[in-house]
Amino acid sequence: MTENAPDPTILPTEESIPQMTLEEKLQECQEKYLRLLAESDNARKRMQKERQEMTRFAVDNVIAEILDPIDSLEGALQCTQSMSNEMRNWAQGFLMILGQFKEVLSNHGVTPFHSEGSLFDPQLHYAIEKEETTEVPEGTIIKEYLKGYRSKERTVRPAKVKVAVPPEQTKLDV
Amino acid sequence: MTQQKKKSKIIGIDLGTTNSCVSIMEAGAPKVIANAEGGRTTPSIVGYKGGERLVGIAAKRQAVTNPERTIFSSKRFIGRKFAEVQSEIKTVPYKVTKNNNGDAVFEIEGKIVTPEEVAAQVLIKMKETAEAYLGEAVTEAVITVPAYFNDSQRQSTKDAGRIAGLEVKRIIPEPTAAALAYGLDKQHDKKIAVFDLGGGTFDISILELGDGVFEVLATNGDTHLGGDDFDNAILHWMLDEFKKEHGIDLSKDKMALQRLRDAAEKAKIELSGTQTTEINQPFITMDATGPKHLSTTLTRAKLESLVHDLIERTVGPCVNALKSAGLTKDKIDEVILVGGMTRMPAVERQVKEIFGKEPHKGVNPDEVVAIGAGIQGAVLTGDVKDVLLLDVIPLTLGIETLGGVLTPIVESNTTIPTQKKQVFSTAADNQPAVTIVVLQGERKMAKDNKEIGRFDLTDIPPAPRGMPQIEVAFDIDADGILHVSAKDKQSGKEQKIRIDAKSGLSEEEVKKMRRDAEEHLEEDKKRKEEIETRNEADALAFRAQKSLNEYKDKLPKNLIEEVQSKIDAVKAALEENNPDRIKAAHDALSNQMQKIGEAMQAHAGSAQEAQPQPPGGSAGNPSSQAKKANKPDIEEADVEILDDTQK
Repeated sequence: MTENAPDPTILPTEESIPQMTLEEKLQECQEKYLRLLAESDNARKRMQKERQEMTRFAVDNVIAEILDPIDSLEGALQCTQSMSNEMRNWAQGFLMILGQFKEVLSNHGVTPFHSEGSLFDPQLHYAIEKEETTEVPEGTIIKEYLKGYRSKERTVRPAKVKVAVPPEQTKLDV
Repeated sequence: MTQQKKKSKIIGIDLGTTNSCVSIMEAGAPKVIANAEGGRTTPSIVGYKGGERLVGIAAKRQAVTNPERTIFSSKRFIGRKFAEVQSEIKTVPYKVTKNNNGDAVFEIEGKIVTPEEVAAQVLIKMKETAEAYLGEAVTEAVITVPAYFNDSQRQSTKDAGRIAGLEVKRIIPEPTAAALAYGLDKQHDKKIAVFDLGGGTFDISILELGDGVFEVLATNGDTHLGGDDFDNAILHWMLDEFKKEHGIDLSKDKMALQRLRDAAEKAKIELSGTQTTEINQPFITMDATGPKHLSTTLTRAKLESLVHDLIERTVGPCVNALKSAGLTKDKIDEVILVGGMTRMPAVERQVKEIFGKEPHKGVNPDEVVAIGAGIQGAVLTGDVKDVLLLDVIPLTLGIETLGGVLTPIVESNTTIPTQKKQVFSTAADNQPAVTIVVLQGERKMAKDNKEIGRFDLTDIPPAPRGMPQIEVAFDIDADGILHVSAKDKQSGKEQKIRIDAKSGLSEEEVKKMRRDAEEHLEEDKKRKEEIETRNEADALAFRAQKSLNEYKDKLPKNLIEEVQSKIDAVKAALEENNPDRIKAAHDALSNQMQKIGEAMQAHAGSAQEAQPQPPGGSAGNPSSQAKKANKPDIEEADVEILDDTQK
């Protein structure tokens, strides 16, 4: 019933509202548009940055996985002393293969670092054991269980180490 | 414009017992942010040493050397009285004491550190992670807490946020966040079970959703059950196996133990996707007889028998939670999995058995809570409702090209409004007109798709095949109305039509077309390849004929005859329409073409392009007789694609 006949009171409203809001609406739209534009631009930049990061992480992650077999090979080649000359000759060859692997790593900027004797740094080392001792300064790495590797700006794999801590007694005095 | 308030993002943080995770809403989609070390989750661990504070992975790495000053699981103490946490104290190596009002606090180097301050350190790390990603300051956050947290625990979590420089806009229960991540808030009157088996704790929550508001009906769980228990079960099995075989106890060997611990976790993760996994640890140790290797196979069935008791421990709490919610399992409408351990098929099976329902999957269970918090943050910013509801086109739009192929212009799922342009050319010499047939659908061949419009662009000035540049533009406005125009770039002549969205397809039809496309994928591909071969052969014959005519005088007669015969063979094969024959003739001609090149080079002249360049399609009939110089990269169509990148 009422739907059939257009309500006359609507007319002025229809006219006045657009007049009142047209500018505002434009401004709102403009603002929204600009914000959207900026957001998409920012998202694009972030994505670009993230893609770079991801590529880097991806390379590092793959390399980190190759480190395990390299460790095994290294471990294996440490048992050659008691071998016959013939075996040692073989081992020599495998040592060269190990060298090739390491070359691939260093080509990608990944190099091992030496931990024993240096001070513990959680950015580089992962402590899996401690030993109470006064022979070396606190925080000195006494033993390296697993070699650490790093690339230019990141620790690819922390070294797993044993760290010197002061004996309980002395610590209480501190 | 100047009063434009800078709307900064509200981040969502899952402040977990073992790990924390941060997410934001970006361009309408939730996104988990990786920390500086590349991790998508950060250990909730803080190490203190002198004035130095370490948070996350660095704190974890030094924990062994610094157990009294490395606070993990601080969430177990936040907002609680010293008297309440006696059993927890026994499980941690650091000192827990009480402050003046009886709250549980930590004592580190003789100083009192509150659980709020520890949590704040983790929150700062998450905040910095988000800031590094966004490149702007973050000041507001939504933080999740377990559903069973009381007012005091929630208030303390809020305080931790304040200490971290974050205004906590809302504290929401973890199961609610998980439900948000699955978009379950859009439903009505649902009972939802959230099964959360993480690194160190197990929580089961029963939620009721009414009118977009979640109410926690019941919670239960086991505060000391998680992934580490599963790893240990595998580790002990490996130690036993090795002892049985070699008589050596590796549990005393730190180095071996470390390797086995890593191997155990790896095997566990692998067995979520495969039935068996090899565990190989060469040179794990050595005795007088030489090196010893650990080499064994772990099957999924074996793993499941090893951890059976652990999984069994989740049943009781679930039953109790249902009971205290006053529900039976058939009253549960939705089941959600949270926490990395729920990836294990045996765990999932157990959940299915308990609730008699297939659980929701798809969102990373390690991140689902943080994602839900991020979504809540976006809702609070107004981002979610403020975002224009941008539509996408349901089916690919394109035109018909040489050989009756659909060349897509706007791919399905493209967000509109959008505009795309592509340049095509003619398929015959002096072709005066092209017909633009606008198609909608996912099939490769034009005839299998729906024609939604058609028009001719006429009066193209006479030109050799492939020369005219006809720019076809598809412009779809926000209402889904498609404007297609075709313009001859040289003459500037343009023709366009407007196609109403309504002339497209209904939702049912869209679904049907997608289904069809999937079903016919293989055969369509084959058909398209055939046509491509055809077009390629046609174009090659055309080029060969042209070269032949052009360099007639400079080529040895026998070569001319040879090439001509090969060209004729191609034409005959095309006539015959036998794909294999066409391919063979094409290859033969292609070889001859190289000879032309060689002969020309010998002649010091330069006949270019011996390479066949694929075709485009002509809506009409391909003219194989036509001749003209063919630029590489040109696809002859009805219409021919010159430059895909032009938009």
